Amino acid sequence: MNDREARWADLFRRALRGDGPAYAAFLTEAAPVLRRIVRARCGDGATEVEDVVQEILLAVHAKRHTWRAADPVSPWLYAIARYKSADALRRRGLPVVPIAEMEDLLPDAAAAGDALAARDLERLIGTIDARSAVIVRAIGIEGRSAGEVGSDLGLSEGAVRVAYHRAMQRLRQAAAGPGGREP
Amino acid sequence: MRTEDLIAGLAAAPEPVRPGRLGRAAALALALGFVAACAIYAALLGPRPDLAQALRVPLTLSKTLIPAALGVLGLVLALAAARPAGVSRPARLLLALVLAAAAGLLAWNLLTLPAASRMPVFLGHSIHVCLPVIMLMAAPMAALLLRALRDGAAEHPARCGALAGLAAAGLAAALYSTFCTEDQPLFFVTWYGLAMALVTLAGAAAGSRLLRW
Repeated sequence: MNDREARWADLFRRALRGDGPAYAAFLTEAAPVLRRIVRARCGDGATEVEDVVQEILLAVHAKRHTWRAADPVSPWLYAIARYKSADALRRRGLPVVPIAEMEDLLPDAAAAGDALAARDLERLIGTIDARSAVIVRAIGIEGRSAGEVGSDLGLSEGAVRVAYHRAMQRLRQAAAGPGGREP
Repeated sequence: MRTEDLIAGLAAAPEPVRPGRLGRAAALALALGFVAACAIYAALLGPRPDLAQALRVPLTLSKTLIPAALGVLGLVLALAAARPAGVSRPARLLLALVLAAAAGLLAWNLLTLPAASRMPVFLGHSIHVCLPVIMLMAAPMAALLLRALRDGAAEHPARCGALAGLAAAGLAAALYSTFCTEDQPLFFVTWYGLAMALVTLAGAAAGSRLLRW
């Protein structure tokens, strides 16, 4: 355990200095631990668990400056996992409103929109929650920008893009599922 | 998105992070807010005429030092609360000691004052200035500090907001105390305390909305 703590602290310290491979190693080692925490706290829904794990990873990334090199990493990491798990439980059934600062990492919204024809979208849109549906309609069908949609909904551009991306993901799964067809 | 892909994306070219960014931003925000509070102070109040002599009396000095200490401890604790798993046990202990000292002063004052003067001292003559002006001067500090703390990751947003409110209120009350001529703890512990408690509560309410992430 202390072994791991020392290794994590070393990897994360290097990551904070901009060392990509160390960061990837840290996140890869942390992910299964996070998955266990989420499963213990939120139950076992496979897609949802993975969603929450990804949210935690995004939060770790967005808030990595709040870790101080003198502190142990695990309590910091677990605190983020607890917070995000509680958050996920609180709004279970509500749309995912994720972290803002991820825009550069996500595929371009318009390109993702091409993957599904607008007609298919309308049919599938009924299967997702209301806010995601609004976002998908506005971007995927009406072709508006994430920034515009965000200012309508009171969300940052990045948050809209992440929500859009997630919604498209779910739509693709729905399209590929029974009764649907692969886009 | 697969989790491995997300990790690869995050780790592709991580920006280096400067240590202590949150602390610097919070201290700067509070300092800017303090400048605004000083402007309010200059416009509405100004120092009491006998300030230099008054501060030589320990009891009167405590009227400035206790809120100032609460302000500084509030900042330290708010910053700790803005870090996941962050605690500052020394600051927490000191906060308890300062609050105990304030309560002790109040009790001592209550017990040693002649019964007839308790009520007049308790009510003083400036509650109507003290309460609103302390809250008014705390407002810019609280607002700027809360904004800075949004960059943090408070596990308990309301608690973090409350501590930010305490930081702002403490400094506001310390500043106010150099104007105020009511030097009995029965007055200042009570009414400064009430003003600070209200700002702390407002901070908690604001924090529970603003400091979620």
